Amino acid sequence: MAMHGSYFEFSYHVENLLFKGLGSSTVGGFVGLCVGVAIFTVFYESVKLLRHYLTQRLRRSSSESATVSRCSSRESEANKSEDAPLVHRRFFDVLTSLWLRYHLIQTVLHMVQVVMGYMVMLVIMSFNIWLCLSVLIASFLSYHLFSVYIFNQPLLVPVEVVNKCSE
Amino acid sequence: MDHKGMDGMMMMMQMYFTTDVEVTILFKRWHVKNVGELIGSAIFVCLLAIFYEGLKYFRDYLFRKEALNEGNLNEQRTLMSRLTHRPHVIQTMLHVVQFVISYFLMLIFMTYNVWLCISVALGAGVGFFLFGGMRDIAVHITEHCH
Repeated sequence: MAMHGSYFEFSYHVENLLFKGLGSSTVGGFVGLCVGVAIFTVFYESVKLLRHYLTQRLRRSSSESATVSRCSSRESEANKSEDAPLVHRRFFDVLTSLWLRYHLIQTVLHMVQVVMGYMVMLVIMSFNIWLCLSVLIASFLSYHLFSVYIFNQPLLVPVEVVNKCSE
Repeated sequence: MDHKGMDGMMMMMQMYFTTDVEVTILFKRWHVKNVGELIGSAIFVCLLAIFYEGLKYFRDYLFRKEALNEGNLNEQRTLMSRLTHRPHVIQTMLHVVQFVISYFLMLIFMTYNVWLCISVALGAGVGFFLFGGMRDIAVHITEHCH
């Protein structure tokens, strides 16, 4: 059923890539599959970019508006409390706050990122060298594009989430 | 599904997403045969993913706490004292636990069972929702896959 071994294979024939029936036995179809995999990888990188972007937007908008009302008695991280920061705020404030909306969007994006990350991993696990190269090249190009031309900073640098009042 | 040889390692040969109820997860003894066991396994996997997110937050929290407490001792430390420094040893042990759990989650996703994959994704989402908001960093660099 599967030409699946634990070694890289240099073939133009793949069957059942992730989904049953998704495969090709012709070179043309295989090229199409590689392109599709590359586009999927670009989408995956763009999800990560979107998360960074949303964090930056929140940080910018949060520094513009008054954060005093949202700040509770928590001043710094040095507090040894094991409670969540949310506990210190009034529940109603949290529900209507911008932060909760941001956090829900981030949660959904996180789930999407997890699933897509695993699917990219599974594509690489098909051990087909051309598919792996498609993923790597698409990943490299999209990261370069996003970090240099769109975001203007390395996307690997963690973007600080404004969640505390220590800003 | 054909089992490819019983050399101790059961390798499921299908490499595409299925909605089977019968699946072997990670260990030979963890063999799910019916819907009830599948639901229990899915709940466990979900909890594992939630725990994983919590562990990431916990390591963040410990790191920040230690950084605040001992910010000005760095110049005096030798390599040996840095290696045996207690917070670092704890971080190392937690790192190993996190590493193992992350690979377990990856292997669970690799069973290609749709129900288990959904429970991994849901667990990651719930875990992120509960714990991710308290981290300083939205997307951490050490998160491969996620």
